[in-house]
Amino acid sequence: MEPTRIIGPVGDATQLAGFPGAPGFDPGRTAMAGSAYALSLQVISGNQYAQAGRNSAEHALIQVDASGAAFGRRMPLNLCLVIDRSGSMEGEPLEYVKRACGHVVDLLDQNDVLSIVTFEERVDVVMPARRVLNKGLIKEHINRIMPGNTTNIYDGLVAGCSQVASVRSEGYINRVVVLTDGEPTAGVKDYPSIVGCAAEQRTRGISVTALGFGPEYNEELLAGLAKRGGGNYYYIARPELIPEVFRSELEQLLTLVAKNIRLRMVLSRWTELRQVYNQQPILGPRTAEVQIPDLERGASQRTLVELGLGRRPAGTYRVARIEVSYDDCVTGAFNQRLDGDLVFNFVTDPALVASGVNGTVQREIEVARASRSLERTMMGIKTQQLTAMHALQDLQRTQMLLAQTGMQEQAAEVGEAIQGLRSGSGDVEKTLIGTIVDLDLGKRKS
Amino acid sequence: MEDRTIVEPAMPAMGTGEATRVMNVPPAGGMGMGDATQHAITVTCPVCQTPNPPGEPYCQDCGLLFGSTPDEVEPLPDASQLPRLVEAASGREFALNPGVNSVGREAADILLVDPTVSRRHAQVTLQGSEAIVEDLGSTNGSYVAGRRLAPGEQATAYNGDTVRFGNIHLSLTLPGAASRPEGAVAPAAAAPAVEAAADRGPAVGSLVLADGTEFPLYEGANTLGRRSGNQIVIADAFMSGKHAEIRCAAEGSAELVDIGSTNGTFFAGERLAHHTPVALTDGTTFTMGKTPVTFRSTTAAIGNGPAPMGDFELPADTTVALSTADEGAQPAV
Repeated sequence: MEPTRIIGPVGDATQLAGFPGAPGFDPGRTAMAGSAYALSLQVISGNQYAQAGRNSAEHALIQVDASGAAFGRRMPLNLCLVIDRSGSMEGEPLEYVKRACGHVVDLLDQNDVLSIVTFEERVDVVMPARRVLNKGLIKEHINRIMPGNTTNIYDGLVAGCSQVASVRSEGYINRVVVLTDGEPTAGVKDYPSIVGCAAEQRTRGISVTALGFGPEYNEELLAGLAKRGGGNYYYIARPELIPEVFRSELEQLLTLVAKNIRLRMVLSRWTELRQVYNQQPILGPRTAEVQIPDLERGASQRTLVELGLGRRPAGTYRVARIEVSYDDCVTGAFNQRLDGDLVFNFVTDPALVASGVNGTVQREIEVARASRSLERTMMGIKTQQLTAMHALQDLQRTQMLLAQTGMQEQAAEVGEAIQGLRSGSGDVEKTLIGTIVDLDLGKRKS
Repeated sequence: MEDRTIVEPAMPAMGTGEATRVMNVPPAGGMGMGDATQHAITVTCPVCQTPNPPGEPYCQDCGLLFGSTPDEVEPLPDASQLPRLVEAASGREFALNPGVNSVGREAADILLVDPTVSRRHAQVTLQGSEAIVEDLGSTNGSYVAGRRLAPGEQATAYNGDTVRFGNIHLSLTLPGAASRPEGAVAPAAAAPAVEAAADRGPAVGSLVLADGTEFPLYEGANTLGRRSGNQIVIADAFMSGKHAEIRCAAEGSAELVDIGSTNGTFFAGERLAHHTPVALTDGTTFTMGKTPVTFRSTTAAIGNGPAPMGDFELPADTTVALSTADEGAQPAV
């Protein structure tokens, strides 16, 4: 028995609207799809009980699940590919990138908007934001990309975002995909500026995915881009994997169920927010708001929060109201809402409190710990404060913990890192940081 | 006055202990979904005394599920009489609990999400009607009534004082407690350490990097970190802005203290606990971030002969910055 409540959307059919900026989107069918809803919300208290008459800290898990049903329709994409054509990309890597871009063009249709930007020392707009009408011509443009010199990620990112912004409309899924194989060597190079740029775009409804290729790129920078940019992070070890990663990113975009998802907590009196794990909430008087990643079909997102519960008389209290708003990418309805209540039973008997721990939330706390411990191990390897043997032991412990908490995919990734460490290959940190981003974004396969 | 506590019969399934729920069903004939407005009885919350519109399952202020508490509730203290910190910019209020209240960007009693606030920034201890602010080695500092606290320093804050953590300004309310007495203004903040370095006398030791770069050490505290403003600036992205201190005595003995670095100071294979000094002897090597550093004592060097004295006769105000290009490039995931 879990104090889990599932609440459907509060929006009604009259809120449904077609996409103003999206040609070819049939408003008649929109209304039909309106009966199915994209997201559902679960609010799970970390403990059924809390101690009355005393201050305490408790956790809670807010889970948003995307519908697994295939609707056979989707919101058009407004996509910009930002490609590194620095000297180091010459040869095989750039050839694979061109092929990958070609696949992307094949997967899009005439309602989608595509732009392509390349960067080295300077930035070129290979193709300004246009509908995907003449695929052959677009591929010709792609094939003319030549390698250059240095790596100016910042200007590339800015140019990509402005291409997307030039046609941005709520009726599109707006995404910038950045691929690089190196450290920033030209233009603005510092981490806060580059990551800050991605974070700012996100508040404007444009998300950023970061693809790191080869052994030389700065994984902290790319992981930061993806985390703050609301997209994904991929580590591409070998050039022949580039098309596959592009395909998987695009597949996700083509099956998005909800975007622009915001989670707002309205705290009751005597309730303080202690933290939202891996997020930097926007705080107001008694409110906290975070943005959560876009969700594709069948995906789940979990947000773990820690609350300080002030002393109060015994009784059942809603310590926070949870509001989730999102844009439905299937029906095209904007600003849909889900509501939930976070409730604790405040009792005087400590034995009851000890008995009320929720297993699901407890596991999620363990996962958060695993992520922190991976971060520590990674830092230890980087700074060489950790011997290979100790790093191995740490990783094995974390791997076991992840396996026990049902995070099989991440456990397998840590397994890869262990193999990498044993064989002395250099991609351990890049693999691990991917796992950390995965865990921290809170996306879970249900 | 008679309180009406109302529970809607069609509550969402709670799955929680039914025993705690007491239902006071309103008189028959009322509260049908459609005609609720005709019986507009305000429901006063028995716990926080807030009036609520009818039909609300939970109190809109304190969140009490109506009917879930015993009839007799002892009155709670008046919220306006409780000690608290108020952030004027956002209107957020933080109740101060007796004992230690942590301040920081993560998992804190007083949660301040701002890039200028450290994860573990400071703590505010409430003892009786007295509030004591202690900085925990934060990067951007804690201020009480305009004076910056040294890492680890404790200062009493008075009713009405402005307390600042990084760029976040909070005002302290301690109902019934005294305001800052005239003249109790804390001594002016110490001049920036770099300026003080000018007349610090002869070097009593030095730090040597792997590439041979040498930094003189003076009597008293020598600060080390990635940011400018330290006496010894080392451009290592894995070092904290303010990473560590070396406290030297005139005769050449020295202590190394980690002042709350993120990635740690490693000495003899062990990570140093924050704010815990260890003694350095001539020739010992320790690591900050990724940078190994060797300590040389002048007195020992004289005894052993070969160390070149000339190296210590750099202009005393030399602050050697290897590079400032990646200022602020703290790797953070």
